[in-house]
Amino acid sequence: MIDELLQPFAYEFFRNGVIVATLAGALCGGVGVYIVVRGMSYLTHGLSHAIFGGFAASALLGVSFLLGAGVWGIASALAINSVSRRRPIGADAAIGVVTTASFALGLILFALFGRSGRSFDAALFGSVLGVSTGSVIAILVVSVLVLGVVIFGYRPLLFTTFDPEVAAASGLRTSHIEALLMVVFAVSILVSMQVLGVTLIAAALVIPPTTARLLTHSFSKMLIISTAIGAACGFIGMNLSYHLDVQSGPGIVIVAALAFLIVYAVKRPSGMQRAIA
Amino acid sequence: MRRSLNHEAGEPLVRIVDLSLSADRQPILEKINLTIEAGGLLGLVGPSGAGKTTLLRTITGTLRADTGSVEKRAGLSVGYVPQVETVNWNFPATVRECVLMARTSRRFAWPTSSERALLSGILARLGLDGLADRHIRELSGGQQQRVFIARALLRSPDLLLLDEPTSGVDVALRHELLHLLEELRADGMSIVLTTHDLNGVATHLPAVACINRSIIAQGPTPEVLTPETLELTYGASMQILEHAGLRLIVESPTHTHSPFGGDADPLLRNQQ
Repeated sequence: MIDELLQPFAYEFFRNGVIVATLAGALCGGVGVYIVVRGMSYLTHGLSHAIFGGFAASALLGVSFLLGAGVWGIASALAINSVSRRRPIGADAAIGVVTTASFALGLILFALFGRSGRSFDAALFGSVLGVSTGSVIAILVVSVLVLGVVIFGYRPLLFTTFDPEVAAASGLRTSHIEALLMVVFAVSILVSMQVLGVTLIAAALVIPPTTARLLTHSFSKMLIISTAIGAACGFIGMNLSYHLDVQSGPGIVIVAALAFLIVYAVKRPSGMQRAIA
Repeated sequence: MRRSLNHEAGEPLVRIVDLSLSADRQPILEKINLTIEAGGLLGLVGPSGAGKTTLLRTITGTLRADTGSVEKRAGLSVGYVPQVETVNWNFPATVRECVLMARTSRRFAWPTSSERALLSGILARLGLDGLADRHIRELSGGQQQRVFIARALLRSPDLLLLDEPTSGVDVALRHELLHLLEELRADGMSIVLTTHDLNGVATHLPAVACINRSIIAQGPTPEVLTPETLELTYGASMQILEHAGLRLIVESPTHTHSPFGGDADPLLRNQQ
């Protein structure tokens, strides 16, 4: 039994896949907290679909996926941030406009110039097969940078997330901080997309924070718990996907969903708690 | 436009000169002239939509005037307490986290030993000791209000701005809060608050400014809160009763503009 569980670790592609999936889970779990508490879960769907446009464009132009999709994703994130700051429009509509247009463009580019098949499926649902040493380095670098942003900018990020008006009144440049957060979201999605896929990355960004929120009322604890849940789901989900011979994205997401169901069943809010919520 | 005032004796903390501001071509503030003195406790009163919160935002700098200027004393530290109705009570934040987040001179999550001492001192002073690890939603209305005052105080402000701090709290809590503000003022802090609580202003605040898009009147409370000024501010007739050394402001049963037409609310008319 143990030998069977350890058997895939003999392959380098799987070891890389597990490292990337675990880091992607942790990364998405951590940054997802800022998305969930801001009520911007829709952003995760939108941004990942926008980055898909960059994925297609990079394939068309023959440039590196990380470069093409990275530039495209960051541009989309900053466009959402800019449009959503215009009061009559709002964040949800801004996400809807910018990201669906970007996704549609990606689909057209794929249809006209791309090759459907394995790479298309991998982009949509994630794949362990394409995980190279370069992918491991990319997610490692992004994880360290994001960790640095969260640690060194903890209070300004929290203040801006919780109470942007008072944060601005206290002298914080909230527009810069919000733009920084959008870039963090974009690069985190970008480096995680390979194993999670466009269609399922939203779950990795939303389920661990939502599960962690059921376990704590503290923001700092929620960050830690959500990151740990994400990492565990990435590790277990990747192993599960190998043994069940399914794509990595669904494997990771189903583990996260099960973790949520278990915690929800145990920590289900009482009627009184729901009443005051 | 922003200018700095000199830090000299007698110079006000903030001087607002001819400030006007509009949104979507609708004037919100017109030709506001207001001075906030050091060590003062000033109430801003006026009907809903009069521009009270907007005026506070021009002082904090989150809104820019179309014309006119807000002159602040150089190095002025401003604390801002928002309306509690605007707070997201489902946000995962304990009292400790909520208060500490505003001290952004330190960027890390964990506080220094001096911050811990400062935090526990402020929480104890505001009657919040023992509640640091509670979620903000688990507190009573008065405690929730004081958490946000504690957050502002942690920055040791020279000027404390409070937006509707007496809104939604009962009489006992309202008096407790106004006494706390008097204590803070006695410590040398300058305070400006917006409120709809005219009797609280009449009882506790030494100075008041009546605002309805422009400043109708400002100065010592007994001189400003007159039936004439109040009618100009609110568009409704009010009377001021003196009882046991207290000034009580009551809506006049006559000349009340009924939203349904006629001169007075029929219920009030029956009481005449």
